[in-house]
Amino acid sequence: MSSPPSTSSPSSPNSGTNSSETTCKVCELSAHGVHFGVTSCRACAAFFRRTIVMSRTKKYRCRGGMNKCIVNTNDRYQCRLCRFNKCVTLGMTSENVQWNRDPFPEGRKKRDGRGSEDEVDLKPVKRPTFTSSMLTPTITKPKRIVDVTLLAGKIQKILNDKKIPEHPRLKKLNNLERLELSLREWRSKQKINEEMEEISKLTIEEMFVFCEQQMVIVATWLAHCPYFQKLESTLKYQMFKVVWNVWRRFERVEMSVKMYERETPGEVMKFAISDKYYVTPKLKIDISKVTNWPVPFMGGIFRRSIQNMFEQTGVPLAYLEPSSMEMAYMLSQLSWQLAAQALQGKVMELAEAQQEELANNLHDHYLQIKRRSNYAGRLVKLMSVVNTVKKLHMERKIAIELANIFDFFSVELSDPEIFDG
Amino acid sequence: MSTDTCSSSSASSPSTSDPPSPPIAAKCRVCAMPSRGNHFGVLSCRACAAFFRRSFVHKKEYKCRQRNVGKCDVSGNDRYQCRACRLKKCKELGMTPENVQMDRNSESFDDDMTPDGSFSLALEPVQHSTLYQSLKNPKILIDVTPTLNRLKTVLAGFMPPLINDDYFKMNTLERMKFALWNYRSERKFGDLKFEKHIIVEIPNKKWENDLIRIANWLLHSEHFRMLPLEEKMMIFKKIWARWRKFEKWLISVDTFGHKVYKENVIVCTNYNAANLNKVHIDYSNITDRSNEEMSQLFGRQLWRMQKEVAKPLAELTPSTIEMTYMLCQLVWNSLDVELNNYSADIGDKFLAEISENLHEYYMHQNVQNYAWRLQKLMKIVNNVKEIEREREEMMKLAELFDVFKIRLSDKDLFIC
Repeated sequence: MSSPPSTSSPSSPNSGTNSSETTCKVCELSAHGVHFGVTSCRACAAFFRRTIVMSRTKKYRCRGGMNKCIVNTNDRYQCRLCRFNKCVTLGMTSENVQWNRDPFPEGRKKRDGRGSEDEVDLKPVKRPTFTSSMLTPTITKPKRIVDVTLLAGKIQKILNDKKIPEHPRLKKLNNLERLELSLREWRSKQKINEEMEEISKLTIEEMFVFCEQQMVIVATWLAHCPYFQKLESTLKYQMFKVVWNVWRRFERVEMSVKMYERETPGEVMKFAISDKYYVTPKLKIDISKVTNWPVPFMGGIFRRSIQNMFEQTGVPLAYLEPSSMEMAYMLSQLSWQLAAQALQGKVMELAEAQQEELANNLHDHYLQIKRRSNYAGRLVKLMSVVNTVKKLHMERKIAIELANIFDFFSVELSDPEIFDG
Repeated sequence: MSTDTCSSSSASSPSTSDPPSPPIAAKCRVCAMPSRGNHFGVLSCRACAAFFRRSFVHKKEYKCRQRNVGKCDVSGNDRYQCRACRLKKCKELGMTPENVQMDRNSESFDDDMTPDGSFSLALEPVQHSTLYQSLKNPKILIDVTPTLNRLKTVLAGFMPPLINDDYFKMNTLERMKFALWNYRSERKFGDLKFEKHIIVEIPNKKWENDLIRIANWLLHSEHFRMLPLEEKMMIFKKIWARWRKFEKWLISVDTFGHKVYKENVIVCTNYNAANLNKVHIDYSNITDRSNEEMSQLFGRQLWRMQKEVAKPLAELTPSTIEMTYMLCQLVWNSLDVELNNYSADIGDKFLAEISENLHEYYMHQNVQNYAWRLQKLMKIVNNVKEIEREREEMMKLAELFDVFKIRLSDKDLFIC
């Protein structure tokens, strides 16, 4: 029962040869319907479309040199010029050519390149590996644009509002006292512990509302600073973007320590996220609208930044119990040092002058108000807290840069820098 | 002959096999596919031969899953339907394991053997030569255990050396200033010679003595002497390198002022001066990389040190008491070592005490408002720490890429 020896099989009968309606008029192979007005096969239709889309007509040359090559069956690709001419002669028109028909190869190339890059970058960081199926949706799905121009306009209006620094009540106050007044205005709204409500779940929209509220507070606080008013409008807004996020985190951490840690020292359970609400480490944040990556991985990065600040600054803050004047001093140090580092130039000059004046104001404050002449040790401790916050801020910036490199976010802001901090 | 052909395969086309051998010899006797010659004593194809060999080498035992056990048709494309019957037919036809090569499947392994017998699977040629390059230059191991033992002896001491009668009238900060003066007194001041050639040395006796003198400086702190020996050693290992570097920059600015960052002038470890724009630094003792590579490696910290430390120092011109204060803060402030609560408390007390002493110093100097000056001093200290943190990251990378050809038995004492 041996099988018959295999030989080249004879050609299968072409059932379409008997009917001219199922034969490509260009190359005489089986047709796949009417393309560009002529009964043709897919190969000739695609050839015609490519020639039109890529404007290759002028590049074709007749191989035979006589413009009379026979274009049929297996010879159709011998001469592209004669093939194209036959298409046109038979009546193919460019009327219905789809110009963006071939996006997929580019998409595939881009995805492969990106995937390769991500794969390489992921290894040194020793992050968990993600399958390519997780990468694909992120890349193929276009990012949503979140328009923050309205918010930016609101902020810039506050920063450039001349009524704030010229308010009569600020007339007799020095630099530090003005900043302290602005800080106290915001903090006087803080509800007492018993009146605070807990939030156990947050969406990104709700988080954004808190951020917007605190942006207004930071902008107002900055506007109280005389040296800030010497900056031009563009630099003001740039400094605001550098400063606002770290300002609000540090201020909220200090407020939380003031409110809660003195009751249970060393065991921070609550974080005063605004003047009315507090959160705990059990907080659940719904970030599904801003990222396509798994939630636990994303949440871990940013939750740690608050906990780190608690762990590293909570104890010295609880020990120092800084007054609002000292807190204003620390916030100013933090803001102007970061701004000088990021923006250099004019901002650096003003930062130097601002810090000198504030140090003198703090000295006067210690001597006259606190009746404390020996403040060297305390001043050094305050500065250590500021340096710790700066260090944590730089670490967080690195984490955010990594998040952007790995394309974590599925949204893009109309003003990207505003959330860089 | 023609009768044989007709009876064996009447449906096949005429075969062109050699006349001496019968046409049946062109077929595998096991599965009737084209044969590749004699395998294990039977005319068979490569597939059946490999199957037989694998079954023997791996001691496989198969079971026939058909109802009619042991009678499956093993021919053509059905040969893989039942491995038991296929193997059974191989044996019936006379295949013997006599010539089976037991290590046949390791063939690809042998192809990667290099002529000298070492194994380098999957290594690229460049990496291969790199590997041999590394093997030819083993790291030089330097045993610093005697240095560590000597340090422990010093740190375990009870009293600081070289004290005088006025010592007991000094406050904490003044004693540390006295200690700094002692540390510096071994320098040969006078006309500083400018070096033309600097050789980076491996750890030696001079280096060890420098470490001892830093330890002696620490011992002038009564609070430091109260610590357990293990924690003293921990603190020392953490701070000695940055302390020595910062002290060098302090003395450079004290000696040359603005020239330090304008003309790139610095005081060297061996008590002479150097113009870094003109001096040639030889790193060959510690690495095989070129001097250009090493200069690039260390260039950034040098530049940051000049910009963020030397320049503000030259503008402030700190006094010796202020220098001492900065060095103490560099040691104790935000120490990156895990100390127990007792040691941390002692550190806090030390810092509080020297701050009190600094205040008294300013009052005595009639400097009423010193907040701005103190702020600048602390900023310089913080910059030194940040630059040091960056250097540590760079050293990890250098170690990863095998830059250095020496290795110390305790890498905490290795510094460049």
